[in-house]
Formats: sequence, C-alpha cells, structure tokens
Amino acid sequence: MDARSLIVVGIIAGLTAHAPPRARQLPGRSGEARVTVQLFKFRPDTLVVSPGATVAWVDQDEIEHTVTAGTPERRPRGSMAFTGTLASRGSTFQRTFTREGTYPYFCERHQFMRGVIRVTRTGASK
Amino acid sequence: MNVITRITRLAAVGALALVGTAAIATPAAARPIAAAAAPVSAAELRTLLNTLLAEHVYLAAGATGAALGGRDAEFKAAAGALDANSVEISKAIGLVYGSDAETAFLALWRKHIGFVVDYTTGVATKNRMKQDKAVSDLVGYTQDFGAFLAAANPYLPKDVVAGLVKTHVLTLKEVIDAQGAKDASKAWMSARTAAMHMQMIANPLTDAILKQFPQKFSN
Repeated sequence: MDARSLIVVGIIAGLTAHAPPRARQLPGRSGEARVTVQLFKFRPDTLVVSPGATVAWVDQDEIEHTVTAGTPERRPRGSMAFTGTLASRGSTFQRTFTREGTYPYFCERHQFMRGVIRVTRTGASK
Repeated sequence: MNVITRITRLAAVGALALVGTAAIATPAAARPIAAAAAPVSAAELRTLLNTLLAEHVYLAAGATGAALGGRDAEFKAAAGALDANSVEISKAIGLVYGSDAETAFLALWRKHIGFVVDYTTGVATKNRMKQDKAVSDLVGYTQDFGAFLAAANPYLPKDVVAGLVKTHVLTLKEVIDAQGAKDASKAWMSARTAAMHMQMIANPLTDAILKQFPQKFSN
C-alpha cells in the first residue's frame, strides 16, 4: 500500500471511529430511551427497550422530520398507528411502548429514513 | 407513439434508472474520478467536487434534452451516467462524513433528480400544474439539502446552502425550458451558466470541509 492509500485509509478510519452502534439496548422502566435524528438518520436505527419504556426522538437537524409508525409501504392502523412531528432542531417527540413487539417507523418527509423499536423483556440491558 | 405516452414511458424508465443503481454497471475503463482517486489534498478535494458537480449539470442537461427530444436510447444512457455521477458525489461526501451520511446524501440527491424528471415531464406534456408542483418540490428540497449540509458542517449555514442550491435549480430549469422550446443555442448556453454556477456550491463546500477537518487534507 503506498503512502497515498495509507492517508486515505487513515482518514476513513478516523472519521468512522465515532460511528454509533447499529443497535443499542437501553433500559425501559427506569427512564427514557433516546433516538437522535441527525444528518437525516435515526441514531441508533434499531433500539431495544423493555415494555413500559418511553422513547424520545430528538431532532438535531434544522429541518422537519416525522416519526411515523410502520413503513411507507405498510402503515399500521388503529392504536398501532402514530405520527410525531419534529419541527426543527431541538424538537422532541415521545412515545411509550407497553407491549412487546417490533415497531418499525420512518420519516414521512424523507422516506429513506427508517428505524425500529424492539420491545422485549429479555433484550433490554440491565 | 404520441408525446405524452413517450414521455411517460421515458419518465418511468428514468425513474428506474435513477433508483436502480445496481442495475447500471459503470465500465472499469470509464470509472469516474472519485472511484479512481480519493482526494487527499485540499486541491484534489476542490477539483473532485467541482468536477463532479459541473458534470452533474451536463449529464442532467443531456438526459432532459434526450427525453424532450424523444430519444429513448440516449435518455436511458444519460440517466444511467447521471446516476453514476450521483453515486460519485455521494461517495465524496461519504469520504468525509462516513457511510451513513453517504447513504442519506444519495437518497436526498436522487430525490431532487426525481423532481427534475417530474418537471421535464411537465414541460414535455405542457402540463403547467405538474411543472409548478415540481418547482415547488425542488424549492422545498433546497431546504432539505441546506439542512443536511448544515448538520454535517457547522461552517455551512442552512439558508446560504439552500440559496445556492435554489440557484442551481433555477439555472437547470432554464436549460429544460429552452430544450422544451427547441432553442438549442439557448439551452447549451444556459447549460454552461448552470455548470459554472456549481463552483459556487463546490468551492464553499470545499472550504467548509477544510475548515472543519484542517488536519485531514494536506495543502
């Protein structure tokens, strides 16, 4: 590998060293789990919580996003449906998940933005 | 085939071409600059961004010109090349801000190309409502684009970026309008103007990246 390639590899390694994990496990009952919306991405994109956990989405982009249940192709109905609007940077939306299950969601305005909340008694960290 | 059917077909083909990059192979011999040589110096970064963004305009103009002229095969080829350019621009962003940013940027970037396809279809079919909707979508998109870069880089104010991208949208719109009016001379002169304007995006973007990561790029 020549010096030029090493520099490129170094840049990429340095910039990606801070990448968040793909899935994060957070406790449910004791408090709030958080999803940050930054650079048009839900971070983490998969969050594992216990039943009863409240998840808060926090917008760090200077643009409106939504937290909409399901996927653009398959939207839930009834009590499973929800939409929260994050108007701009600093806006938050919260939802409490009481039942075990897998809850996909997406941003209505930028439908490539997808995330999942997994609610499980065994999956959450202690 | 009448003009509406033809453009509808072209738009469908275009949408597929723009979304389905996996189906579009870039010959190794024609591999674009970002894939061939990742920038390591400030000058290379500046050259890369200027080249890719100017190329974006010419390829877009080629695609819309072919679509409006009813040249199906040329349109498909131009749309494929345009998407390859989109991927390269996204890779350049990914080089600096990581793979998640690259993925999000590509989705956002393709979105504006989809709106350009909508506008071109509106021009071809003389559908004023479709044109207005596409322009409205494109103007709204400038806010998204500004927000993306503002989130990535503190030296890129959202409104400033949005304003620059709005000019990009308007200059490209002039190209398409001239193509729709069959005014080739105006279309190509407008394409030059639109391409030259891209340095107004590429240079501030380069400057902001260098300011944000001064140690990452050599002088």
